[in-house]
Amino acid sequence: MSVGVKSMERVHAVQQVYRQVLDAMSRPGKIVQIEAPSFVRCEAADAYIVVLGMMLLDQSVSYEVIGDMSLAEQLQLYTLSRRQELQACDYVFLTTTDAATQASVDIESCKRGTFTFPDESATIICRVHELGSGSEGRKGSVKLTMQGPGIAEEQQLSIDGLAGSLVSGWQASNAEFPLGIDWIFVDEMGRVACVPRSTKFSWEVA
Amino acid sequence: MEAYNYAFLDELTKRELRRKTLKAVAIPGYQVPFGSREMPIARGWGTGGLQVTLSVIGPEDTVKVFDQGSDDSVNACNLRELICQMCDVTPTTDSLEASLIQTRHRIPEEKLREDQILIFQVPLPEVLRTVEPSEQETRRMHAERDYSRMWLHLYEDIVKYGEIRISYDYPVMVNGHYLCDPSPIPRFDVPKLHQADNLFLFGAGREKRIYAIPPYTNVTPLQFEDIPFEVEQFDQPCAKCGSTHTYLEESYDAVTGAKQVACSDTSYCDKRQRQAAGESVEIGVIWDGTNPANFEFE
Amino acid sequence: MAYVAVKGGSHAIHEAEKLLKYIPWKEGGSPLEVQQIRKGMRLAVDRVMSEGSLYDPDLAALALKQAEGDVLEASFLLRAFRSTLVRNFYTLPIQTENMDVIRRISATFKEVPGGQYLGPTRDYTKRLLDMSRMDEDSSEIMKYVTNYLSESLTEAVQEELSGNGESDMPVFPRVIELLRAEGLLAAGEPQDEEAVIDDITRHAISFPASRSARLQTMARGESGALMAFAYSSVRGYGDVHPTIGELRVGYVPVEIEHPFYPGETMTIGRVLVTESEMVVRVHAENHREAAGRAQFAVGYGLCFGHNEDKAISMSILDQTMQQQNADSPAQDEEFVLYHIDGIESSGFISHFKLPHYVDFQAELQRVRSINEKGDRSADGEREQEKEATPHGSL
Repeated sequence: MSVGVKSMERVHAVQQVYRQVLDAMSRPGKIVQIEAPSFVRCEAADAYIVVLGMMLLDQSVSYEVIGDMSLAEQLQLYTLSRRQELQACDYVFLTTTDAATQASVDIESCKRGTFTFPDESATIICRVHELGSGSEGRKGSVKLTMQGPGIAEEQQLSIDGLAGSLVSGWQASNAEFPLGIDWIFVDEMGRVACVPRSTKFSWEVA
Repeated sequence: MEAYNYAFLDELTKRELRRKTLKAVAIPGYQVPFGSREMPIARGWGTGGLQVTLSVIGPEDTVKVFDQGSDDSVNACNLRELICQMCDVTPTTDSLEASLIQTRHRIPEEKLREDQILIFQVPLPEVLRTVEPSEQETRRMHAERDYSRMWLHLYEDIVKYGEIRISYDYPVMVNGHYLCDPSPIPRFDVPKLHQADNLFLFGAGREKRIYAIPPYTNVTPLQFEDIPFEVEQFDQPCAKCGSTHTYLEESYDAVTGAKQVACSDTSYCDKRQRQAAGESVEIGVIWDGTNPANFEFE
Repeated sequence: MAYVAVKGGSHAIHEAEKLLKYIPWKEGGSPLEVQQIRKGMRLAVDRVMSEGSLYDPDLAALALKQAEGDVLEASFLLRAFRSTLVRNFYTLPIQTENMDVIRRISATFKEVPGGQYLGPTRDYTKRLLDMSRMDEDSSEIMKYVTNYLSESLTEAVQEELSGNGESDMPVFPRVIELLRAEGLLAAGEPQDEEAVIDDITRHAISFPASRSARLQTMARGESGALMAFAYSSVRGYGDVHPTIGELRVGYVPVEIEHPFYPGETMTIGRVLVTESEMVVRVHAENHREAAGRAQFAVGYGLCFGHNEDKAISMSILDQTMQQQNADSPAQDEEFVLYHIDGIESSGFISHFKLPHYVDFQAELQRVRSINEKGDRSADGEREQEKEATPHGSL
């Protein structure tokens, strides 16, 4: 057991986050809202990451954090999971919006699965400044135009706080379906959007 | 039920199910292996669908559980009781009211909405098992997308019988990539999977696989150009509600022995009967978007 | 047109449950006590622990009571209960060299270091139904127990007094070590030192399976299924010729790493296990170990409780599954491992009792359609024949 919060509050909070993320993964680009639970004792922006970690992490899987090391500590405290290097881990928490750090991450080295077991692949939880539905979008935002399962015709998503170099690495990793990496974006206000590997997208920088 | 965690499963199990379900949604039609737990229901009786439901459900959900189209089927009753006991949720028989629907072998006649999830109980998740008993080999076939033996099997049927023999577990191609078993739903229900508004989740507890068909996904039944896919046809309307647009089942009256044909989706049939009797009832559109009027009995 | 929505499913299942409680006792009688089952049906209790995959004799006895003696149903109850339990620790591997042996035999050599001890076995009893036991008295049983103890004590004390010193517990080194010392044992599957032991209750098995996954699946496997496959392989559907190197039954201590004092261990209890080490001839051309020498290999079987048929069958199958050409069922690891779990097999076999009318309706449609096509084309052929046949006769 972790930090002593074994209560209905925790169970229900994590379930609600899961339902939102499941909805978002089923409908790539759809923006959903998650709550920062009160029992996670850190700032809201970090709490969103921690509660996503609580939904996904335990001793059966491994993770890596790139960015804020105090957040890494919080994750460890709340999940008791195992850290593992980028190439081998199951969940990558990319918590920095610093473009240089982002650019240095070798996304293509993350696990993409095998043809026999494409599910044995990484998921990236990426913190960004702001998610939007695509028509607006601050200068410098990445704008995705997406098609595929979960999208009726076409879906747009604008992401403020994502480096262009990451996006090209992302597309390269997912070039050979079913191999690939799945992404969960969360912004500073707790908005979440997912882009699974089944989504085909083109992108531009606003 | 103080002794058990909310929704019976411990949090470790829920996390395992949730991780695997998210991967399943990301790879439509692909069977994700998962650490299936023993449940208080026997293997083969819905433990896969049950585990998926229990990993997804929360106190705000309204749940419908039905089997062969009937909410009153004894196994559906048993599962529904367990779920309600363990999750403190409201049960319903009305497909329109449910946020989660757990089903054995049928898709409701009323089209599901974006906010609804349909969870299938799956006995045998591997569609290629008909042509290949070995799991190792079928996994290779999916990896290489080598579906030639299934095509050959279908072709041989046509040569021998003039049509494809498969009635339920009809092989479908999902997202143009994976051949998939839609669970033992009749052919009649297969077209509902294509470009639906809702998410479909499939749980096979004994075989330990989860798979998913997201909304707005292409799902195409295997067919030959000159022998297109056909669904079941019925030459009589439902004896109870007069429907000519639903999947019917024939049964024999316990007392008179007379053969009778009626809707398999009993709650849909009930609603139509109540409407015909003058009650104001909300009936959903069917999957082609239409709302068929009541058949006028002579 | 009136409608009647048929309701009654819930009612039906509740009435069925009530009947279950009524039927056994409708003519009176007293319920079995859990301790009676634990003692008087100890071998059934052992089977339930083994197949339920949970070591708790009292709960296994309770499960048997609740299941009215249905061993598979009782194992299922235990498995479902096990599912709900929190895992606090993983134990250290048990050391069967430290077993408090109650039975130990070897078929490979007439005499073995430490000696052969029959222990409590029915193997050499005459299978004659003992009618005198229809009405047994607890006082008779206790008298027997007291007499037995005093007789044994008398003999042991006498031996000690006479200075023979045979009263020390013998040591039982493994018989297979004798073969290993002579260089006759094949090395076995290469062990990856870093490898994590699979846990089939947490990760679905995949193929080719690791040895740990194979042994785990068998350890909780149904005794009859294991026996049927092992039997098939020794009868000829396979090429294994086994000899029991060693069969031991006894109690082993179970230890964990100490939760507070690093480097120390803590004993949390002991379990009764049956262990079988089966010696087989290795044929280099169809064994994973291509040694180029004539050698023996060892098949291993271990299960909770006293269940020799199961442990022996396990150890035979451990070897047959390692053979590379899966010519026969017992050599095909996928075939064996997918079909020996009693809870899974009985669940699926019994699921055929569930209504299947929707699927059957779909089948009826196809069958009728195919037959209609057949009839139509037969009619068509008859029409063609009629036209083709010249009028008149020959």
